[in-house]
Amino acid sequence: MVRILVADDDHAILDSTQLLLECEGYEVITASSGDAVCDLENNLPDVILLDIWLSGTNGAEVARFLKAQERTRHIPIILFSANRHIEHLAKEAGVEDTLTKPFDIETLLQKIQKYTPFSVRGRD
Amino acid sequence: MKEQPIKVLLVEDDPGDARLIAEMLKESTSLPCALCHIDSLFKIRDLADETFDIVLLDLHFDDMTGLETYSYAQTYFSLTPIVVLTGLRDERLAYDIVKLGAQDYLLKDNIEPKGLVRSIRYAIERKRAEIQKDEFLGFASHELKTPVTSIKAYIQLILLYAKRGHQQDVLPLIRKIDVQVDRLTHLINDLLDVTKVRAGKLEFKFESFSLNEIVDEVISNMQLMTNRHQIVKEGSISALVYGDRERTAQILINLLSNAIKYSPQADRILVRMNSSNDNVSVAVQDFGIGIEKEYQQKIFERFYRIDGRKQENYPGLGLGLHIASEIAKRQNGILSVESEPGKGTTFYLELPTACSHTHAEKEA
Repeated sequence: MVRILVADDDHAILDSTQLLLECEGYEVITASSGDAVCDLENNLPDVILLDIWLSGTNGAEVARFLKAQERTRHIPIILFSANRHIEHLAKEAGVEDTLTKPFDIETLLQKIQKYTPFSVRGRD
Repeated sequence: MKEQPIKVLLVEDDPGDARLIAEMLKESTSLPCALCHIDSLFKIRDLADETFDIVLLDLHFDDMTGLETYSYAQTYFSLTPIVVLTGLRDERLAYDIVKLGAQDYLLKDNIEPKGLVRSIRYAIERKRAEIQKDEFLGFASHELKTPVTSIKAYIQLILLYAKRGHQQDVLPLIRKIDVQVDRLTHLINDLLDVTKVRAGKLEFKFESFSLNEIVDEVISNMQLMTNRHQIVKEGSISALVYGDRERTAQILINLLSNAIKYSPQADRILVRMNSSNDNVSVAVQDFGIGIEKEYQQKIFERFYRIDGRKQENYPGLGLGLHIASEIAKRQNGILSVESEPGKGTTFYLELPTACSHTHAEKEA
């Protein structure tokens, strides 16, 4: 099953996004701080949805860190922000894509599918 | 500490005018200035990497209208205050350019040292306030979008559940939406309150009430906002306080949201209640990032958010503590802070008891 890591410091955004993606048949893990994302152990996710303003650490820095690690470099990252103009930040951080808050589930699903083209997701 | 000189960029092609202004600035002992003078508008390009505290801009350059001159300078110095210099017969133009965004104008024919210094000071402060307001609008829209994002996601989830016949799962989502709508309402109220605080028009409904009850209510509501922290109450007081129930709850909500926000790694928040003869106090203690000594008083100022990269990671309106401290004052109470960077922060709210209020009334 496709695993998505959702990282956001807002409890309700984490909760709602997790439920939405689970309803669409994805396995979801969550993180509410930058450190929790950087400490990813085994079972790496297939896609990361990363908030740009994580408490304690800057999301763009977390992205740079992940893109600098051999182990995590290949994981597509979607940078998640209320700001509509983050293309330059996304480019600087080396992430694959961006998503503006509030978001449409269809847009999020399209983006995830784009980065997991060969995966089959289970549906209840 | 010696004051840093103000870095002034003078853009002026008339050598006489330039010399005059240079001399005035040199003699202004009350405002030490470091002057950089260029005699052509287009030399601004060469200075694009430098920063100045203020630009004094002559509006008359060959072949260009005053508006073009200003627009050109403004694209290079969008974050620097600009004072335009013009002749008597062009006062109307100067005024139009101030409406367009320049911070002030000076008429060259009657420029004098004191007026020049005043204008520089005024322009710098005015620009600082404008930038602060713009940044504030950025933070405000970000903060408002956060609950809107989860509300929208929950609604889309309800639509999905309805489509797939999972009716039984819908109710808990509606409750979650309700909590987020309340949060959005609090933010909007903060925005409205801050304008009222400024105009001295914040409404209060004074009565005797149980602080203990309010603390319990607020804790149980705020516990819903965090999975990570356990909010633990220590102590309990029976004395009634005299003040506004809702406003007091507003202070506590603010203190607990801050405690949650600024202690992302901690797993508990303590709320301690104490009473003395005339006062009751609530202490809200977190085990988070703490506040440096130099910022501990500034956090109560309007729009104040601690500068720097570290703070960028903690979005917020910078209004909550300002409003909370004003509300405490209006109720004859006080909001204070103790903090150690890296260890955590404790806010103390002290309010007079209903009993002490009645005594004070009688004596008065």
